[in-house]
Amino acid sequence: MGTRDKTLNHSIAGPFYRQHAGAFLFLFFILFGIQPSFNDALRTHYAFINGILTSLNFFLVAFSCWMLYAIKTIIFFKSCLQKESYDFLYDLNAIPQGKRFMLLVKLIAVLLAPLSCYALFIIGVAINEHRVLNGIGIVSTVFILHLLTTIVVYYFIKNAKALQQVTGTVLSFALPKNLFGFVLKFVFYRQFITLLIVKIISFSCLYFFVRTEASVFEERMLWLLFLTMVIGHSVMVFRNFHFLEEELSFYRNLPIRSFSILLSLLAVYTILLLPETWALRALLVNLDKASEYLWMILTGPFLLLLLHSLLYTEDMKMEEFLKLLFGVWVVFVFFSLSRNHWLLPAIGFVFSPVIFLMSYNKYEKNMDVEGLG
Amino acid sequence: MLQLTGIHKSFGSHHVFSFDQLRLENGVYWLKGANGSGKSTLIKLVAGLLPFKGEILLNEEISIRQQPVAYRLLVNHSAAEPIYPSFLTGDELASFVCSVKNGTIQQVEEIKSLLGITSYLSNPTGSYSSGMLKKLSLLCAFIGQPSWILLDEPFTTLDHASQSALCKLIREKTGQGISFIITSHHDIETSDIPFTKIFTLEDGQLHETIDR
Repeated sequence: MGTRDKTLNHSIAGPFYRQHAGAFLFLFFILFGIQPSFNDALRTHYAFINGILTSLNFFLVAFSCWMLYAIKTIIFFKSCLQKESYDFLYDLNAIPQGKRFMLLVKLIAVLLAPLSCYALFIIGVAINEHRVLNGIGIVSTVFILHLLTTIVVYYFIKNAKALQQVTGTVLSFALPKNLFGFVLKFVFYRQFITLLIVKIISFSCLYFFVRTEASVFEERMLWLLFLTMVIGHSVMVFRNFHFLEEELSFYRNLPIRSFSILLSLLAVYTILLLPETWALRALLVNLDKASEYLWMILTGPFLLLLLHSLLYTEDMKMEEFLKLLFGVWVVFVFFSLSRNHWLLPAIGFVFSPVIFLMSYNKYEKNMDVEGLG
Repeated sequence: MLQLTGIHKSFGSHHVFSFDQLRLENGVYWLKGANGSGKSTLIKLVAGLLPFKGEILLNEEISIRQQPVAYRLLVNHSAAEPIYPSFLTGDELASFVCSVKNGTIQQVEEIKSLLGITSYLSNPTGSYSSGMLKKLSLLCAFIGQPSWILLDEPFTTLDHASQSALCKLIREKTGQGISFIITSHHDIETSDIPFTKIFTLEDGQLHETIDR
């Protein structure tokens, strides 16, 4: 691997996977973790791939997910180029076009590696099912997606400096000019693709699960799924936290009560989980489980608020946050096994303010000693 | 009056500064120091942006720890290198600061006019130059009814006309009883800001350089 490849991988691919480690873990859990055994997971995916190979509709659903992922990588690449610290990428324009393109092909291959891996599985299943032509068609689609992503990224590199000029338009809908409005705008404006992916997965999983026939409906499984889906939002919680403490850090000089900050965050997370609140309403309508519904819709925002509050306890990187996340998930799953499901929102309700109020004023970003002004 | 007692600040094992007592009567103070001496850190600490050991009292009764809201209502800050969310407009940010600092639209318009801030505030801050960001930060620092305004390198990135306008604004606000702590690498001794005292931050200690 050449120096240029290494530089690109270290500066783009590494941060991409680190920044999205939580999302990958969440997706991995959804795709492989909720089945009772590894063999069941394999069987499920075999059936998925078979569906992709035989049904156009199934293929279109899968293709939409792959395209969302490709768009996500493009947006990440673009956001890197918009930072002045990535100005060195602009120097790539100095090397011949062919070499530049090949460098980007390799980088995109690393970024889209999860797609390529799935494409390999598709080939395997296609051979096994004697649907080689369909398999080639689908793999070609993945290849074209690679190519298109590379072309877009190539174009960005070519216009790298222009990307640092005037940024996109401001959202047209009006939000309050306060912390609540700013964080919500940050979620919709800067995390739109993440929001879309998390919402599609979370909403569809809960919506369909809760419509299981009453005779076979398993409440504990729904809690497990619900808690996992809520924890899946933690990527956004992590980013919201860093948005507040880095880009909006001047708010710490403003006379805002800690309790108001906490309420603003609770309001943001309540709005963020509105689709889940709607998806779960069958609990109320079809299954007549009003109390379960109430505990669930209360648990969601308080759990996210608890995660946000925990981020103030020390300056955590994503890896450390993931460990913490796992711990919180285990605790909540443990309590969901009890009959007293009111305990789950109660934990969030009690511990979020306590942790927030104890750690908010002590929080400080770890910084390099050099350059202290 | 601003009173700093038992102040100690360090980042991990790196000691930045410490001093037992600093009493600043109302006035205009110039805080000098080499790069990395901790000027911005001290300013941020007084602004309530960073945690520290010790206590800061405003007018002998308002504690930064016990009455954080009342304290922040009276102490404004402008950063050396302001950072704002690139998708928010200057107007949105100024409006937010105005609402929490009890400022008025008329006051905002007056300061905008004095600092020579034109219509660009309706654009997202991502499109601003460093000078424009600095002016926005200064605008926010003058909003409300503060007792103290902390200006970290206020003249950096400003053009000559804006520097003069800022000096004029500082003089005007001093006349209204507002106190200032200003850090600057630039030699602002020659400017006509009526400094009460000049302090130098060196080797983690605060030295009074001159009493004017």
